[in-house]
Amino acid sequence: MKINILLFANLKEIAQQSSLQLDVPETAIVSDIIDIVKKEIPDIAPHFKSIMIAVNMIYVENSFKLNNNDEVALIPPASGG
Amino acid sequence: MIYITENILTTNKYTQELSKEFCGSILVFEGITREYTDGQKVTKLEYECYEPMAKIMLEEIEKEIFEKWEIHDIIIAHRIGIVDIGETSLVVSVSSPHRQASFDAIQYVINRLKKDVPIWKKEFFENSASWVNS
Repeated sequence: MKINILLFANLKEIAQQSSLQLDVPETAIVSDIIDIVKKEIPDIAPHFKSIMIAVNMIYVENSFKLNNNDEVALIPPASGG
Repeated sequence: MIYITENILTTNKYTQELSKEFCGSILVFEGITREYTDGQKVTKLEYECYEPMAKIMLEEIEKEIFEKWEIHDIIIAHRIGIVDIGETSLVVSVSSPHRQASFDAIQYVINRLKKDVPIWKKEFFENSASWVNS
């Protein structure tokens, strides 16, 4: 199934792209996506300690089960205001 | 009401737009860009936002405000893109029958916004730049 990954702020700059599309097994959960992104963009790996994950704009745990065409956003620590 | 915009925030607009029926208090918080961070001169700021999610979260925060305090109306306006020093990056305005509710509500909104809402700030210094908290 297809999963769309969104990157923001420092992550977008490190990856030099604001999104990527992954083709993953139907059984994929959030932590599987994290593992793939770490392999594809190794420079992002150290940042995962502080990244929150939102699926379709809702914060989720790493065990969250994904569905086809889900939008997975990697959210660095907020700093608005 | 929520506004996320690249335009200059005109605080008056967000005060005038508030519904004020039965209210004895209007409180307006304005966040502006500070010229120094830890002694380093900041030349400008840039805000980036995951806009659809930020809007949903700010709407949720608004709902929570109405549940927790007796307030009449609230407007949250956040600027994104380049913001020069001394310019306004955030306006939160609240009307309420009594002032204490507005003070409490504004504190809550800002704390939640800074902690959870997907908006990011990049500080530009004379010879470098970095994303805050990252």
